[in-house]
Parts: sequence; structure tokens; C-alpha cells
Amino acid sequence: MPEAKRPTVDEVLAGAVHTIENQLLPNLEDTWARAAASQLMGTLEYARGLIAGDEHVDARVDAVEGVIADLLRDHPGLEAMLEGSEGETRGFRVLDQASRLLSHAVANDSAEADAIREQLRPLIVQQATDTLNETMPMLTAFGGRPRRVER
Amino acid sequence: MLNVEVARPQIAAYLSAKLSTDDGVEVGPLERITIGHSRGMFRVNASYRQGGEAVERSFALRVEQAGMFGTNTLDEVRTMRSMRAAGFPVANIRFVEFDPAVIGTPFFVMDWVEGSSGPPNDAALRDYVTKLHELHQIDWRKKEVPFARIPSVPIDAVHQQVDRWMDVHRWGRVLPEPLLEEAATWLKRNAPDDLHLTLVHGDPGPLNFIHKGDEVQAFTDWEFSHIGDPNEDWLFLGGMRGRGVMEPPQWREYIADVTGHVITKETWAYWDVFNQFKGACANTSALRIFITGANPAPNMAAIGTALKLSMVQHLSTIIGMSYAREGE
Repeated sequence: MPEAKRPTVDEVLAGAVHTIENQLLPNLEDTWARAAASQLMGTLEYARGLIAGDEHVDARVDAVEGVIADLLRDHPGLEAMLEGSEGETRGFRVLDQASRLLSHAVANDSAEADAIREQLRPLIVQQATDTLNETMPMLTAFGGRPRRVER
Repeated sequence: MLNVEVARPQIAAYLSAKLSTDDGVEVGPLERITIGHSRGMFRVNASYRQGGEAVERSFALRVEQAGMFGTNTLDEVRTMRSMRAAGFPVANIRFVEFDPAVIGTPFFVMDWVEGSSGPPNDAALRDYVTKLHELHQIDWRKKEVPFARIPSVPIDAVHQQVDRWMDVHRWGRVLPEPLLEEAATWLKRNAPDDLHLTLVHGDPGPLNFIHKGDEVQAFTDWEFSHIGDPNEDWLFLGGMRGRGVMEPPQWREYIADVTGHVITKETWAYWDVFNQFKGACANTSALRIFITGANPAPNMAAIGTALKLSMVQHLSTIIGMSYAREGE
């Protein structure tokens, strides 16, 4: 297992959060500055979560691509919905295709629309929820609430 | 992003050029007004001599932020001046500047309105809701409304606004957001039948009006305004911005009590989705502004990701429930 350079990115980020919380926030008077400091702590906590996990979307794109392939196999008529779909990246193209299929399902009452709602939509909702949870430290810090440090 | 210390002498020089003074304007430290994220808002305390008399005067400085929420200074200024001309309580705009040479970004300067944008008392809240209702009653066809797009029939307004917000989202996004694309189609296909065309403020609620005592002094934050259905405003107030005051069911009753405007549960749910969609699309712009460095402040990162996603989750839940009902 490779040995990390020290201090690690996480140690630096943790130190920054601690410093903002304990040394900067208690001495900030301005409301906007206090909110910004709290929000900065939230972004640093998000960054800590990011480097501890997976910073890339590839696995999620793979999963969406797999479900779309299944849908197209079972409902070849859906191919027409994806004509002209493109993007600079694979992730963009796959999510554009998912967008087209979800929109198609809104406007149609059919077996293929049901399949989109039953197979693709739950995956997209779950991925959005996962991303929300990853970014949650920023949301909880958004209101500028100091955590342990109260004035 | 405006550097307030760099901007201070520039604002002083600007006001010296604009105001008729004996020997120029001195400006105190700019005070950041801690509301809103669409614009940088500052109180500018100016002092100067005029005809030998010393003058102390405050202004509100509203600074554009790199396309935040897909809005711009020109549209907002035009709307505010139009509303003020119509007799609505809106701050007087003194100066508008588009030349980036001044402070690097468009801005405008308003007369300072005394009062608070914090929690209103009961009477001020009632006055606000009454005035919002009055805004919806204005015969806009007889006024000079500055909007670039005027819907011909009510359903056009829904389509125009859905497209408008989708464009903002697509400007700001890194990757497509399938649930927002789905929502755009859902909103167009599920619009209520009883739509109306009125002036819509677009961003009403606590923090976006100034009150003093029992009365509203000014409506602020006009950058989302347009011609559309008034329920968009009522849900923005009761379903989003006003939740710190009371919960949505209480808002629905309160609005009916104060204005006589009754909103069915179905209509409420539709405009709830609409406003969550609008908010999510608008918030996506913050992501672009953050990652391009136009404004690398942490609130931009939070708005463009977590705040947006919380709205996506909310609206996708309601749409999912509508599918479940259809399937029963």
C-alpha cells in the first residue's frame, strides 16, 4: 500500500476547518463574514468527503448507461427518442439520454413509459439523493450557523 | 467578485461625478447587507457639501454577480422604474452604470429606504400580503411593462417561464440533470386550467421587502418578475421563502383570509413543483459562477450543488407521487 505524504490533504483540510471554527469565527463581528466563514467550513467538509470517497461520476454514468441499454433492448422503439443525443463527454451524453427518456415518459402512457418510470427513474432519483448527501455539509453550513462556537 | 475595499474609492469618485457637490463625496466603509445572493448589496454612507451645507446621505448599492440566476441589471432597473411609476412601493433608483471600468461589473444606486428586511410584525406581514395581492390586480395591459416577452394566453406564460428557467439551468450545468428535464415536461403537460395573466413579482417573501412599523416601505428583488400566474408568487411565498414564518398549510389559509384568493390543494402542489423547478434551475447558475472563478465564494458552491439538489429532490418526490396516483 503506498505511503501518503504528510500532512495529507485531509489533515490540511481538517486543520483549516478547526482554525476557522476556533480562531477566526469567534473574532468575526460582521454577519456576512461570519456566514461566509461557516459556509467555507461546509465546503471544506465537502472536500474532505470527496477525497475520502470517489471524486468521479463514472460509476454512476455506468449504471445509468446499463439501465438505458436494458430499456432499449426491451423497447427498441425508444431508440428514436435518443436520435441526435450528443455531448462532449460520455457522462453528458448518457445523462442527456436519460433526460430524454424521462421526459418521454411524462408525455406518454405506454408499457415503455412505465418501464422508464420503473427502471430508470428510481436510479436517477437515488443518484441525485446520493449527490445531495455528499454535498450536505455545505447545506447545513449555509445559514452561517456557528457550530460549537457561539458568540 | 466585488472587492469592497478596492471599490470604495471608486464608488466615491463615481458619486462625486454624479452628485452636484461643492468638493466631492467621501464614502465610509461599505456595509454588506446580509440578504440575498443574486446581487452584492451594500449600504453606502456618503458625506459631502452642497451649497455650503454638509450632507450625510445613505444609498443602497446593488451589484451584478456574473449572471447569477440568469438575471441582469438592465431588466431589473426597467422593472423597478416601471413599478414605481405605477405607484407601487419600490426604491428610487438614482444611477445605473453598465461600464465595467467603474467597479468591474454593472450596478445601480438607490436611495436608502429606512426600515428592516427582518421578520415583520403581524400588521406589516398582513400589509405585505395585501400589497402583493394588489400587485396582481394591477391592469398591466394599461401600464408600460418592460418585459421582453409578453405571453398571449395564460398557458404561454407557463411555457415561457419553464423555458426561461431551463435555459438558465443549461447555462450553469456541468452535466444534464434528468430530473429537471423531466420536470420541465411535467410542468408543461400538467398546468392547471384556471391560469391567469398578472404581474408576478417572482421572488416574494420575507427578506425581500422593507418594512417599518406596521407598513411595507418597499418591495425589493425584482429580477424574477414577469407576466404570469399569481399563484407562482403565492407558492413562492407560502411554499418556499415564507416557511420561516409559518408552514405552507397555514400560508394557504392566511392568503385566503387576507386576500380572498383561494388556492386548491392541486393548484398549490403544481406551483410548488414549479417554484422548486425555478429555484433549482436558477441555483444551477451559481455552480458555473463558482467553478469559473467569477465568484469563488463558498455560498456559490453550496447554492449550485446542495441547495439546488434539495429542490430537485423535493420536486421529484411530488412528480413521483403523481405517477403513483396515475397508476392506481
